[in-house]
Amino acid sequence: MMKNNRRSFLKTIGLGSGTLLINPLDGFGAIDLQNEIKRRKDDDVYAYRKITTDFLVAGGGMAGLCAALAAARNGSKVVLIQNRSRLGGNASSEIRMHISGASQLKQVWRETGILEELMLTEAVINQQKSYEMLDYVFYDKVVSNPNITLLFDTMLYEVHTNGRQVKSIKAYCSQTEEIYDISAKYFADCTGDGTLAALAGAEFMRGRESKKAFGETLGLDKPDDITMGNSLLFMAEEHDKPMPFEAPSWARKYTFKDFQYRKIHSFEYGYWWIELGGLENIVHDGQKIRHDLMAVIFGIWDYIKNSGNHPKSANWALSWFGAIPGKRESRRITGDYIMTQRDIQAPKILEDRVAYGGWPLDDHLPAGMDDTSLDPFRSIPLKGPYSIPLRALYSKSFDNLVMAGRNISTTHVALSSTRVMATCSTMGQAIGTAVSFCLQHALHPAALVKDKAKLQAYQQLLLRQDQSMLGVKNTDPLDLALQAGTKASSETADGKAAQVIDGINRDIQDGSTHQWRAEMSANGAWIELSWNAPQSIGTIELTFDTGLHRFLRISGQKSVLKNQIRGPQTETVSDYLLEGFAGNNPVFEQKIENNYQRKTVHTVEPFKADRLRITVLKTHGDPLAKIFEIRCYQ
Amino acid sequence: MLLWTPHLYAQSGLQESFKEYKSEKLFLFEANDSIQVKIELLKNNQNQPQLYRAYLSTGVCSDGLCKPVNIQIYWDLLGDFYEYQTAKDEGLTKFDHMPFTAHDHLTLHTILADTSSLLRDYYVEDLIDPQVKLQSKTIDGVTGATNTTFQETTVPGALYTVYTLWHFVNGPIRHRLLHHTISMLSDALIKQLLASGNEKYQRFMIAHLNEAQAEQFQPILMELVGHSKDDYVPHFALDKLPQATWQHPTKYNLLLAFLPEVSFPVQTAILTKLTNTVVDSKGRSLLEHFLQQGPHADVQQRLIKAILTKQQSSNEIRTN
Repeated sequence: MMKNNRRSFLKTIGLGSGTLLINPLDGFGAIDLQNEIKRRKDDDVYAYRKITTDFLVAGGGMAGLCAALAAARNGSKVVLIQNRSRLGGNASSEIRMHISGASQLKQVWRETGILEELMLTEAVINQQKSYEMLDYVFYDKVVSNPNITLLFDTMLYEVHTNGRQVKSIKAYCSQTEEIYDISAKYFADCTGDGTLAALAGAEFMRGRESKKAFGETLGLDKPDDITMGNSLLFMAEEHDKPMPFEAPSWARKYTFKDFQYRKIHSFEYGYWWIELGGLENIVHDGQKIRHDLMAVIFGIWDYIKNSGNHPKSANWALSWFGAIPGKRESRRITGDYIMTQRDIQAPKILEDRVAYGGWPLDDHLPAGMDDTSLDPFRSIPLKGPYSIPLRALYSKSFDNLVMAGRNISTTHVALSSTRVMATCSTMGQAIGTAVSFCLQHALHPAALVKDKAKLQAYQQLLLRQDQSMLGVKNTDPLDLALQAGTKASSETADGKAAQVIDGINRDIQDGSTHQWRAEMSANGAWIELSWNAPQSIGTIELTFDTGLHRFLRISGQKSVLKNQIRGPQTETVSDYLLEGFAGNNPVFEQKIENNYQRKTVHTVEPFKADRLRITVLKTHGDPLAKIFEIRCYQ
Repeated sequence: MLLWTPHLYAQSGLQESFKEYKSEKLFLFEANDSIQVKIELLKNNQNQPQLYRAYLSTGVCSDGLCKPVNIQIYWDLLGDFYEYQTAKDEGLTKFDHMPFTAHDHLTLHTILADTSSLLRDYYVEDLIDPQVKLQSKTIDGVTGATNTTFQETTVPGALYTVYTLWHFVNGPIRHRLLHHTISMLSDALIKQLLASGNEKYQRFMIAHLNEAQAEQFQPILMELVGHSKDDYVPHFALDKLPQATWQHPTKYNLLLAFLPEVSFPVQTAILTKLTNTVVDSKGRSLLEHFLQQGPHADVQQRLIKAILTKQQSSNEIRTN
């Protein structure tokens, strides 16, 4: 009886209720249980939770993770639903794909912003290179933000719309028997598969377009429904004694000639070309594809261990294999702009650019491991990064539906470049920030693109939060530093002090370093901003060098980690002193130690000063003190 | 029989032996800009097809800074670029009419032989860096410089020439030439390609053999199992051998005799093929001899023992 009363109570106050899983030993009598079973109806079994929020993000992969963080940091209330128990999606410990992006250009274009913050953190605290600790870094960032409600193991299954508005979604948690009915002002489809958009009835694309459809030389003569395949990875470890392996009966059989285009270079982490499913329905046939991939993994490991062709594998044994396959391609939600081959190969500066990509046009043959007589991919390098416009990141069908990840508005050909996770992360930051900005200015993303002044203000906000956009420089009217004079203890020929306020906070391959550089003396090196009149300063923001020309991403593969720095990046300033002066009087002082981030923000009790000095006391090994940018705000 | 070494480019024109080749007119092919070129087939003095040839004369420079291209192009029998030859007084030139150096010719050869060059997937305009202009000393004009990322995909100062040539050499004509080769596949040509010593030809030909042809050319296939220098050709040849091979002692013993000479993966492949065979006494002694030469990896020991055991058990059956 007590329990029934409680249920009625919950129903009355509208929190929803549900039949809890009842253990007869818990103290409820057998009669209570019988009554419970009799009364059980579908909607009673599950606990029903009604939630209202600003921003619902569906999908906790790299795109959704960055979207949620960006929106929450800009003041929005966010519910992040993730249908797995871990964040990171294809990057997480469940799949372990590389977080790839514009570093592949081998120029200077590693992504910045939230992703860079995550990768720098991970490189420092996870020097043991544990994938579960990568999950933890993502988890920590999300749960530490009070604006985010994180719901794990939660899969959306229903979407309610009204005209051009998405109103609410329903989702189910497999672990708690809860149904969430979530209403929000904005919705982000970061599902990868475009599930939310498809359920809403938004326009989407799938398969491979014809050459004619978008004027793409890499298109097909005739369009089809085919996608790139899914991959399942494995990891292995070397032991100090022979480790025999016996394959299951369902493992596929491989021989020497299956590997003419698929090289087994090492055993510790394998291999992106364990790929299947492009010729099947990549979503709905997923159960079969997953098992087929298991049969491939175990078949390949059988080949490695038992063919005699890899005698060095004798002491190696499997230590892990993927829980679910990593998907490359499924639905693509149509936006106001559809990115095509030309946008990737011959990019133009788009006015509404909010992110950039730089992965090659990297299309995989759909047959994958079903046909080992063919080269598994065709990769066309790019000359440089390209812009991603906001118009490709919101649905043309709904005013309040945005998207980031592989399911954005691109052709199949363009997707072969935009699909990689570092690129998806920057899209996530772009839409999360856009949603917060739109909420604050009562605009929709489509209207934001049309309002040039607002669009610029939004891009300036992104830039201030360290998102890079090609050709966008700091013109923030509130940044006091831009009006300051600069002076330094010393400067190198290519690192003038004035470059900390040149508006550009990274190497953009234009011949300038865009940073102040000074030889570190025994007392370090200092740089000073000065104003003609005292300024009220409440926020000081610094951008340091983190070696954006290098790769920085966890990998199970030794060769991928080879030229990375797992730990603080050498170029970065570790210890520094902030000092404010009014005339010759010190009015402010703060010392920071053990920094390893690229962007640091110091919000302090406002002080009035006409000089701000930053003294670099220690770097992480670089003989030069290096600062890209200094910003000051009231 | 090694007729030539592919991808070995003679810098000063074609190898001497080519001069004795007879040319045979084949068809007209419409190349870039609606220019028709005559395609010829070159045969050696034994009347064996060797190369395809076309003479191309076309202007390539949209900015008027280069001279026209005047060039003879050779393809192999699969339609892959083989070699080019320029007329003596009309050599290839770069920006400002500078003649190609020997190094430039080598670079061009490498580029034309690369069927997956970036030139395939970019428009020529996209390969230019609009920021950098080259000023001509000889005529009043400028041209764009090649984007730094793409410098390795062209001969500096000759982007339009290289681009035009690549697309002619590697364009639809490749397919056309390959199909012509397929249309003239006679027993003699099949044999010629299989025995060419050219692994590309061998792979192509093995893949194209039907069952009857596999039977007919079995001796050459067996030879390829034992003596191909390529890693993969022996495997393709093994797979193409008729099933009956594994029941004919004279045939499988020939393959068993190759065991000591061939690579480890080929050894394993031969042994795997024999696992359903009851080998005769000669085969048995070849296997035993091979086993004694050891040490062998577990997989091979298992395979050999399985074959030898099969022999024993069937003997037992016969004696009962």
